[in-house]
Amino acid sequence: MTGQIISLFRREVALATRAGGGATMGVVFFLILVALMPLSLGPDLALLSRIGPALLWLGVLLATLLGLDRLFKADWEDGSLDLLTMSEVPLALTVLTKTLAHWVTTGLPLVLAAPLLGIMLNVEPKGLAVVAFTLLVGTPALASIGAIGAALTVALRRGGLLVPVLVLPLSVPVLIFGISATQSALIGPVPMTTPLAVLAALSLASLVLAPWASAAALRLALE
Amino acid sequence: MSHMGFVVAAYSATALIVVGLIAWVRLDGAAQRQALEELGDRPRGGRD
Amino acid sequence: MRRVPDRSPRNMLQFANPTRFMTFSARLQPWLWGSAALVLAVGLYFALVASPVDYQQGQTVRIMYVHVPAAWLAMFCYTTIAISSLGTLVWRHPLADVSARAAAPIGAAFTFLALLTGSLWGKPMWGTWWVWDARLTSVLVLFLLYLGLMALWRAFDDPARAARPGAILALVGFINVPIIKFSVDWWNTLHQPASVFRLDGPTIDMSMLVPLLIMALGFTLLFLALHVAAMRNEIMRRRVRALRVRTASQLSLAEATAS
Repeated sequence: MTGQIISLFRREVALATRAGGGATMGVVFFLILVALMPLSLGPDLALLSRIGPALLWLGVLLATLLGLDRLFKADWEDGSLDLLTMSEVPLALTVLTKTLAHWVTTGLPLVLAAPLLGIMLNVEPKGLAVVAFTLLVGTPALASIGAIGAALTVALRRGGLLVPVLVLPLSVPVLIFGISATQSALIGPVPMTTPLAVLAALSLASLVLAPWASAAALRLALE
Repeated sequence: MSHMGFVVAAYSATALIVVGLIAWVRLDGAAQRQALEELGDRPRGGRD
Repeated sequence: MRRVPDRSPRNMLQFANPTRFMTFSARLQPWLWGSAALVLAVGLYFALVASPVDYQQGQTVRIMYVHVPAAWLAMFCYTTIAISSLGTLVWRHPLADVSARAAAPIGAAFTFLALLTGSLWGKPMWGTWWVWDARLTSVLVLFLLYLGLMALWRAFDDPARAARPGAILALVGFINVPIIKFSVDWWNTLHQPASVFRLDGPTIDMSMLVPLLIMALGFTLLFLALHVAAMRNEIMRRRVRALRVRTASQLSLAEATAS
């Protein structure tokens, strides 16, 4: 069973990173978002460096939405999802594997890109490190919540439009605690560990619970 | 500082939304009953 | 293969139970509407005439008597949807999905009303139409959850297929509501100290509590009446749909045999 999970993970990563897989699209979208921020807010470096960490978090939140509608859709269309449900691996575990592979190919590049783009927003070096760290802790939650939205809309022709509407309200706590942890590390007043612990709890809880909901939704789509 | 205007606005908004909801269930119900009759189905559970 | 409407015997059985509901609700309805109107009339008398003016808020305290019940209904209605969703997923009760779907637009309307009256209360009290106060913000997120849920239901062509995906989303949202509330409270205390005048202080006077409770009861009765009426409409809508599908398939069958 472990072997099956590992090979599924490898397959997902290979599919996402090959030409046309779209793994780099998220980073490009993130870059565009960050470039639009000074254009809309004005090139005031003092302002940008103050709100920079929050802008980076917001950019990542929006960029993670980009690849979600393909997460299960391709497998649903070509029938490999039927095969995945029939394997001895529980469907929730399959969903978790796919979510983690999705996170590695789309979430992790965003986490790595965030400090680089933060330089453009004049975020101080300590801020860059903190943002990258909180994003690393928080993005798995975004990926697994997003997977629920992707699974619910998999059988819909225009599901891609629906995913952000379903997913973003549910992501509010992750955004709040991600930015809280970042801000309290940089300016206080509460110690960083408090919001960071909640953020980590949100991530772990959604990694454990969300695959069940996604698996249930996928089973319905296959009926 | 009585701010009666805000009180009036709040109660009018409430009235508007409540009346809107009642109108919605009434009109929707009438439309469905008519569609059922057109399809030759007897309205169920009596009238209301 | 996946998009063929379900015309299995299990699906046809679903009409057995709603028929009983239609008979029962037809008798219940006048009582619900009547009691809602009566309690709301008494509540309005207390709220507008028989209650004192607050020394701090002036007349604006009267907005509370519609704002708080609307906010209460926003939560109550989402709870109704969540319990109905549990019924859809666990017991596959045919009425559960009807109940959830009928409740959503009503809940969204009252959530909107809570936001609107909160804003109308905020303008004279806080000086702005909108304040990113913890309550207003979490009610706003609740409103977004309602909109997402309704959008998902609408996206499916066949209401029977939309039932369980909608139920999953409703339950995921219901688990999230306390987390969202907690996070927004946290966010709020972090950004502004608790100096803002709260909508309901801990020291609420009896003269205000009485109209508030009567109005809350009246709103709840009104919601029940609206909900039952909307459920009846939803059942009829599905009946219309089932009949149309049957007529259409008979027509195509007749055409196929004629040619």
